[in-house]
Amino acid sequence: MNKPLNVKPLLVARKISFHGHRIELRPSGALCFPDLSALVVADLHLGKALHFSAAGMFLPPYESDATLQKLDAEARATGADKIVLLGDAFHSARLTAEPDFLPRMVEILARRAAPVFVLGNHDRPLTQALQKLSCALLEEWRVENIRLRHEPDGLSGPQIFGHLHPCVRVATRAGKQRRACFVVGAEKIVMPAFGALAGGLCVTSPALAPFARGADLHLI
Amino acid sequence: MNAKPPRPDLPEILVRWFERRGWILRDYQRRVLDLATRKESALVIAPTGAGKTLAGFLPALCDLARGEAAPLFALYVSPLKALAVDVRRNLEIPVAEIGLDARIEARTGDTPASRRARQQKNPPHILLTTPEQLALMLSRPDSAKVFANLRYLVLDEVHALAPSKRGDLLALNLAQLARIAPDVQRFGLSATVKDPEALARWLASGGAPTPHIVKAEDAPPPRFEILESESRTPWSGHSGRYAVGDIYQRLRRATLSIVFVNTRLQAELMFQLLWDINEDNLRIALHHGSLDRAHRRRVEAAMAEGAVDAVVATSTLDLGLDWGDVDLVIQVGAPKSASRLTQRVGRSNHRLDEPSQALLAPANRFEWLECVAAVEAVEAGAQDNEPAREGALDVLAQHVVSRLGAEPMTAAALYDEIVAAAPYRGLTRETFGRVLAFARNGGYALKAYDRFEKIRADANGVLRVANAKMLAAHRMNIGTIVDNPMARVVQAIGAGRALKKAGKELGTIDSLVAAGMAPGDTFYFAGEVWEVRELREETLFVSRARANASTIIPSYMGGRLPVSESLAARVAELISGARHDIPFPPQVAEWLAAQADVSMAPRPGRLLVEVFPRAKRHYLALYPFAGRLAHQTLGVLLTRRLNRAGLAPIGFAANDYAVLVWQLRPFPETEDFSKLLSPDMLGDDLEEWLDESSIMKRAFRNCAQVAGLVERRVFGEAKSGRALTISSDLIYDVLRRYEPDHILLQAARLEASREMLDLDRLAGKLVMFADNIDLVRRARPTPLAVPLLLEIGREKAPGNARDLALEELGDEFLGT
Repeated sequence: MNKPLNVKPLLVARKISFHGHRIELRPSGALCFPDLSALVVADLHLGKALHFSAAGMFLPPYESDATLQKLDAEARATGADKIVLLGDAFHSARLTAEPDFLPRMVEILARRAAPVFVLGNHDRPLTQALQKLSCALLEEWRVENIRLRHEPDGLSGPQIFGHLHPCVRVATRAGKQRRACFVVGAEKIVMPAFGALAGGLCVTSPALAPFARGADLHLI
Repeated sequence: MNAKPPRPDLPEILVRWFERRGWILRDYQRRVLDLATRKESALVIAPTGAGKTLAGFLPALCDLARGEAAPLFALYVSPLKALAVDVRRNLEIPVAEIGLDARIEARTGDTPASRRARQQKNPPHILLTTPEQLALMLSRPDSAKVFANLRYLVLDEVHALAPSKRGDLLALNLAQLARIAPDVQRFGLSATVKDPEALARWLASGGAPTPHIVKAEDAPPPRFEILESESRTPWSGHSGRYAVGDIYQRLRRATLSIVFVNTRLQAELMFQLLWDINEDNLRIALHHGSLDRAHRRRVEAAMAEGAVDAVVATSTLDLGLDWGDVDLVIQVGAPKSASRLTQRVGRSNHRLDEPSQALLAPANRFEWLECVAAVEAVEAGAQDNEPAREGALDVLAQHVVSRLGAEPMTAAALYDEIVAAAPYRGLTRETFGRVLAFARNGGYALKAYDRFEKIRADANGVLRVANAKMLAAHRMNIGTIVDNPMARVVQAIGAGRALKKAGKELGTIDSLVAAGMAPGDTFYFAGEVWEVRELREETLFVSRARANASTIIPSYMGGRLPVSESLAARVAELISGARHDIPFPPQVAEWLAAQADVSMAPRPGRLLVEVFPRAKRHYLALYPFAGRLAHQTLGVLLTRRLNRAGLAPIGFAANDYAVLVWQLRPFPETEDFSKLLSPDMLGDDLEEWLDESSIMKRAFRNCAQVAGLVERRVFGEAKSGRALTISSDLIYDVLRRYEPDHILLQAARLEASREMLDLDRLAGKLVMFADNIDLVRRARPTPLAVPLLLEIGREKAPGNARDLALEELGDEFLGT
């Protein structure tokens, strides 16, 4: 339980090498393959506020725009021409109740770079709606032997995925802090959630602990 | 008011029962009865134990005795569910002995849902309940029918309720009741307050006639003693550990004692310490809010029966309960306000004609000064200031939905009813419109949610809740008490998969505290030692264990106490040495001498500032003695200035006397401190800085829950694995960025401002100090600063300190 974790602050972008590829971990929670001009982000959960409003909880309707603005800034900063959305780009199937929402989001996403949607558990029910908008939908995206998915599939070999929203508590001189993080192991990288309202799961929890063991935690 | 001749006397059977009991009506109780006979209302002001509750119920008892009672003709509302239950028990006695035919029931959050449903359908004659349950009952469409027979409304402890969000909600409900049953007579019961007229106006919410103020005869002043222990009194800490031997000797001599402490942590510790030296096997019990209800009931029953010799208790015992023959009250640690002290002392000697007696045991040397100040304040008859209150907007947002759930109505009718509630008298039509828009669909400038409206208007402008599902979800969130998430503590056997609950539920502790414990850790809880077996979801499974060197007492977040502004000036006077009439005990004198030696004593008209490092941080301690509100504002402003100066402030803590700031970087020798305090800093954009403060974020969290923006975490609904709850801090950040004038931010600013002093008043105090600063640098905390280091209620400073500290971690290996 109290096993030491290898914690690295990520206040400026850091380049690492992962199975023969250069990868840049970014303090925004995005990850970049500079050689491919590809920006990878996980768990945007766009429309989360809209989803809750259907139940009478009227969260501020600005969170999707906040997330997309942050993404746009990242695309600009890295010069990426491709954005890989690693699942749960959208929060729920309920979003189709607001007919303008998905088209508007997809249009904004495509403004700066070509989006590639890897499907996650939250947005798989939107498959048809996204196909209608001519979105590129994948179960996984590959960079040679690295498989980029929404969730880990239990197979060995290098994988990059999201889904788990990792975060960690650390003690610092300014007190205890809870920070979202990249979990970078020898074979697996777990990405933090990029969405403005996404929330997090502690790396010591059973779902994350197997990946966090012996891994580097890059805190954002 | 009424032309009919009054019926001044009690019904015969009540008179006979009084005689059998040897009771005589006091004058003030008779006055209440006279007013009741004339169909008027009253605000009854009397000290604890003077028979207020009886006075409030006399009119209802008379009606019962005359056979003039219908179902739910009398309603009693108390801030404490324990009080509702206890008063019900006390009412049952005369009703049974006199042989009256009446159903008397309590209804609290603990009442089973089936009984609550029955109470709504087939109400008892007298119902005893809490503001939250009343709000729930009034949110139902049948509420007009349920309360149609209501004649008497008895509101207990109104002095505690009125100046709070719960009081705002209750005032709105009073306004609603005034429409359903306009002739209801109201009897408010209160301890002594500074401004009874304001309280009477609050009680008249809904346009009811202002009640008459009825005061009980003055009781003789309480008698106080401040403990002077032979043992060494510590400089800091709040445990009172040093005094436990002296306290035990007093318990031995008394029949039934209550040992009041300020926090649950102190209660657990004091209880342990007393049992460690309990050679006479005194029956000592423990009572605090984290303990299981059944346990608390047993302790309360034992007190009533005299089956216990002493009880260690927190504020759960504070309010009006009648506890048998308590003959000694001990207050460990300084009472944080004169009113609180009066109330606690009132626990002893429940007879108006004899003075109550109390022993004050300061937990450290600084608290000795506070005890002296508090006693002087009580003796001078000082009461804490209750600022006039503007009703909270998040409470209003909640009420609007409840109200329309009970009865569709137009916005105009709703507005008229709301402004009849005292706290909302000044509510503008415009603000009301924004609150209504929030309740309707979030009220955002970006019209995103018209499709999902919670409130719909028909062609005639009549508003109603859109559907039953939304109303049902809303009802789950009624109330204004926002607690920290709690974890249950449950006794268990077995391990791993075979782990199962065995035996009783012991109570609850803060989930953050629970999350910090690992299997194998031992801790004190409910007066025993337990070993953690497992934390699963929101339940901590434990088994009995033996104490060892690392056994901990979990610290509870619930320890934050409201403090009183008026004591600060008295303490400043004492500490400056200006008072020669009060001889300091040797230990206190020695401590102040050490302060003068190591640093200096604060001087009248000058501001002492101490600078020292401790545990890798750098501290600034300021002693303005200007009251907690002023110090909170000062803390916010100072950390802003320090951040701008690049000193990376981490946080601050403010109490009545001082403000303490800590930062990552040392305060430079060359820095001119008076510049940090210069009054022109007040020109800074305080709004913006406040919005970044942790005070504001906390206020927003509360408001978001009360207003129904996010759902309260209901006990037992904790999701396994991924937390599905949305952090209100994230919502706050988004909202502040995109719609800074949103009504919910306005509600939060109003709430945050209650914790702060406005700038003009702070400026007045600071100008005085600007050129009169005594700056002292030392290598370690000074005697005066030591108690501050343990101060609770810490606020985070905004700025880059958190990032800088994270950077320092570098490639270090750290535990979580």
